[in-house]
Amino acid sequence: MAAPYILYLSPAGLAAFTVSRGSVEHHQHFAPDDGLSPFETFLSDLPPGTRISLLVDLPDEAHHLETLPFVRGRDRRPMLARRQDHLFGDTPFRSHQSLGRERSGRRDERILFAALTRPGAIQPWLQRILHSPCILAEVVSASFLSQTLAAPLHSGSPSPFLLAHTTPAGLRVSCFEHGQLRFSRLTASPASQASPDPGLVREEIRRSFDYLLSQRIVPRDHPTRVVLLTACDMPDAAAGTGLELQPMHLKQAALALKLRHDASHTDSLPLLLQALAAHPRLPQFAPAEALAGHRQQQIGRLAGILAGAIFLACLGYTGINLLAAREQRSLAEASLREAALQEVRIEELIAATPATPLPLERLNQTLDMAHSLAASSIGPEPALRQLTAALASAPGFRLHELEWAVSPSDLLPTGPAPLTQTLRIRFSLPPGPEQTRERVAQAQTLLTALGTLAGAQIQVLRQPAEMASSEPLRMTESLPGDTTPQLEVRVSLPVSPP
Amino acid sequence: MTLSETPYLRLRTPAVLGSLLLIAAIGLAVGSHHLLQSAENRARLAAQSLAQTQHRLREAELTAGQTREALSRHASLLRTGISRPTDRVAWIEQLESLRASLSIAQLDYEISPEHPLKPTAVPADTPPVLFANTLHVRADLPHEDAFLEFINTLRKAHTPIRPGRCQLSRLEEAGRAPGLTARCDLDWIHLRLPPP
Repeated sequence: MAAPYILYLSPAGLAAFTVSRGSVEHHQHFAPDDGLSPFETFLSDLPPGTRISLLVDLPDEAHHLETLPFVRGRDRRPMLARRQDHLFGDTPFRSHQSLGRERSGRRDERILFAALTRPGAIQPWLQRILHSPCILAEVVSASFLSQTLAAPLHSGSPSPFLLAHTTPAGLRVSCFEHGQLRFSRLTASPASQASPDPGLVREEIRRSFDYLLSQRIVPRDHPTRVVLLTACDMPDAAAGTGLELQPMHLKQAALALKLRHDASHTDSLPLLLQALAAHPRLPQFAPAEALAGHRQQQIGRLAGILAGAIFLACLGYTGINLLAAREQRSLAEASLREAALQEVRIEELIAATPATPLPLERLNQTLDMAHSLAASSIGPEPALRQLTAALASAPGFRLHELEWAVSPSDLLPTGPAPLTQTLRIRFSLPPGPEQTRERVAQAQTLLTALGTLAGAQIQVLRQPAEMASSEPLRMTESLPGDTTPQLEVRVSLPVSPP
Repeated sequence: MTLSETPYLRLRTPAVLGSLLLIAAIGLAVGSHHLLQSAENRARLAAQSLAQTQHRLREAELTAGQTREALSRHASLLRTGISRPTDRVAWIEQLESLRASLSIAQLDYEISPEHPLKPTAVPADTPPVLFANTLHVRADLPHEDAFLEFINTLRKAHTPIRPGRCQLSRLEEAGRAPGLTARCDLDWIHLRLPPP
């Protein structure tokens, strides 16, 4: 970015300066008599977009203090504009500064209105600046700029004080109250005069003081302090009644203001230029339309910063994504490596597994089946022995027929389901109506005895009609060809392993 | 006071640069997001592949263990002689020997042709590996102890013999000595596996 230029406008013409790290460099001077062409050439030679601050140091400057109702919001600007129109007419170079609110009453606001009252001295230069590739950043007056010098030099006292200092334009006497500009007046000096006559200085200070006294800006009851910035020693410090002159060397002032001072400097302009470079926010005298380029530059800069911030944010997001993607790639590669190792283990395992005569599931089924068959090959003896033991308590019965079977006998087991063995037993009971009681008693004894079989499920298939209350009793009823009453029972027993 | 005619042109360069920066920024962000998504997809697929491989490895280990266990059971089963085919001659000799030793008055028997034993859950087109020959025998025995000896002798002679059903009826015919009629079905089980 090109270095900002400060164009100092005085009655003697316009001078171009740059301030870099406290060092003030004078580039060129343009006298009104030379015409504006050299200035146009100078501007066109500057890099496009160079910021230009116009420092106006002309005697044609008006200050007016007004006490107005305190207004905020959107009504404030029109109200101030109306007052400025009323006070300063049609000059476009106007500004104002709030001096704070009254401490009593309605607490009205004290506003110092200021204007550069001879626009014709400024506009030709300003016009060239606006039509150049350069950008006008601000138009400030030397009076408000001298406020930045005054505040550090006179601190603490609430009483108004005067600051007198010389610039290439002449002697400027300003009055400050509570550190803020109250009044300023420039007495132009001839261009040939390098430093003002001390007598003239005293005279001008006296005249300004008298004016301020008549306006009741400074008090009558005690002397008003005057700080005089000078490059040479003042042999006589007395300025007159009511004034307390305090000369201060420019070098000393620069030290207090933390600015650089060169011995070749004979006036306070270098300090003002440094202060302007260091304090960009001063009351603005430029018309709003003249600062359009500056506003656009600010917008462009803001947009650039915003775009840069978004770019950086996206760059950060991209970086995070790239790191995460790298981590994911590493994870994927590790997973694939592990999968390849496990594939090798699977192949080794398959190669080491012996072959089976049948598919594994079928082989297991076959083996289960074979084992079940083996488990069910115990034969009828255990069941018969259990039956014998159970019937031992029922003497005198007659066993007609017995059938033993592994259940189911015709189907092969398919799993670990328990096999059962079934006993179908047919007893012959005492026949005839005369032995009815014995028959029933024997049947009940047999059923009771069978009931003692451990884990047995007993189902009575046939019994004497005397014992079945739900059936009709017909004494002639009997099986075809069988005249003997029967008790037929099915007993299911679990198959125990041999 | 007149102003420059095209003050907005001063915004052209920052606007172009800002736009380029924004486009580049969005491109970078979108590109890196896409890259991250594809990397995450790859990682997810790789993780799925690894999980499948781990599952297959566990299956293979389980299958290997089950195979060894099945082969061990198969070997112990073979030691019982189940792979021996039915020996009809031995069966006949044994029955005739029992006829003499147990004083069996009447002994009738029939050996069925070999038939497959197939669990109901096995599909019909699966070739059978278990077979049986069923001996249907009817014997008139003097008493219950003779029956038990008869059936146990037959059962214990060969391990894969499985009695399936026995019916005992008391003989009460006039003119005959009291005794029992036993009707039994016994299976000679034979396992015939194909070579591995």
